[in-house]
Amino acid sequence: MTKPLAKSQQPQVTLAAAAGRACFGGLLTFPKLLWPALILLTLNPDALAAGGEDSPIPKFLNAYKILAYLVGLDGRAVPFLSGLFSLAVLGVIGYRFKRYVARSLETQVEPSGKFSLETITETIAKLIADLGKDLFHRDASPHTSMIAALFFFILITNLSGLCPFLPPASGDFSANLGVALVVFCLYNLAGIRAQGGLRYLAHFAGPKVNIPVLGILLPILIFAVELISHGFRPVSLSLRLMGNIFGDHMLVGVFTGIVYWILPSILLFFGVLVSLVQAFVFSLLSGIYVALAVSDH
Amino acid sequence: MSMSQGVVALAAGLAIAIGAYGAATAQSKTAAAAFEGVTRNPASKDAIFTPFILALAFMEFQAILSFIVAFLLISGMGG
Repeated sequence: MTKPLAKSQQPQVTLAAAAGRACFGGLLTFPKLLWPALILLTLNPDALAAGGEDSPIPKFLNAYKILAYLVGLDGRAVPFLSGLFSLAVLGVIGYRFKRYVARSLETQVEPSGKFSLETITETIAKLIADLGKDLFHRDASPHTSMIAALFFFILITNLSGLCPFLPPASGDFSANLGVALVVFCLYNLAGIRAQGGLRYLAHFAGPKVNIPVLGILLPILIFAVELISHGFRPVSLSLRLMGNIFGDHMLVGVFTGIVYWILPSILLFFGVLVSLVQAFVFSLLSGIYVALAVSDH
Repeated sequence: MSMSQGVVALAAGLAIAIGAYGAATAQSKTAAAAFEGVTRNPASKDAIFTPFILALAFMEFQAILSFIVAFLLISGMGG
């Protein structure tokens, strides 16, 4: 179909393969761990179920809560376990499909019309490669791979929320804040590296003004406003993702409580759309932040 | 349900209603403009896509904020 990859562009096998095998092994043992949990659950279902006494949301099983209970952690570990699970799934999928992604990035093949996981992976990889090219004006910027990693992680996390019994980590504010803070540190570091510390700080104070008093006062004002706006960036990133995913999850929960036959499946379709769009928005905004920090104007 | 609880429930309902109204109006305007642009000039589809999604996300954020406020009001009511 396509010419083989050049030697330098062949995917790194060693570390990725080891990580993929480790993740896959973890996935295989996951259901085994769940069996005793299910038996325990029949003894005390109320202690582990989600939803309160008066909540309109029906009580659902929460696999992470069961796992946390088994390992000896409390309910606060649920987002962490959820994120870990998404990472494991991402590792397996990445290990399985890295060849297709590398090929579609290198040769820019048009995806074949077939609807398969390969085609989806290739399409998304091409979308992200084009986006990175638009943002950073380079074919293979290291920031493009950051965007891709963010996109796939958030997408897998969001989609895992559509599976029964698996609440998504992105429906939790602190988990999202963790991801957004990584982005925050990353774009500031990228800006400092690209422009130098002092120039990057001066970039916060806006353009130079050549008016006697305003020339001193305005940059101070702009600096303060910019500091607040930059500080709020990770909060707004994580709040947006959390609100969307949590809201969608709750909607599905409420409708499942009303009637659990066909109605929730329509909402699951919307859930897939929301997951895709929110993952795209999060990674796009992170990319824009990096591009703004790196460009010097 | 006591009087104060009723007021809080009303506040939560109003919060999400007004927030959703604003966001939906703004998003419909954006979508209409974007579709009009694309039908006039189909080649602009790729150029419009990213700013379109971004603009929608920023508008949706206001609705999400009002949803969070409404949720906090409701969940604070029980306790």
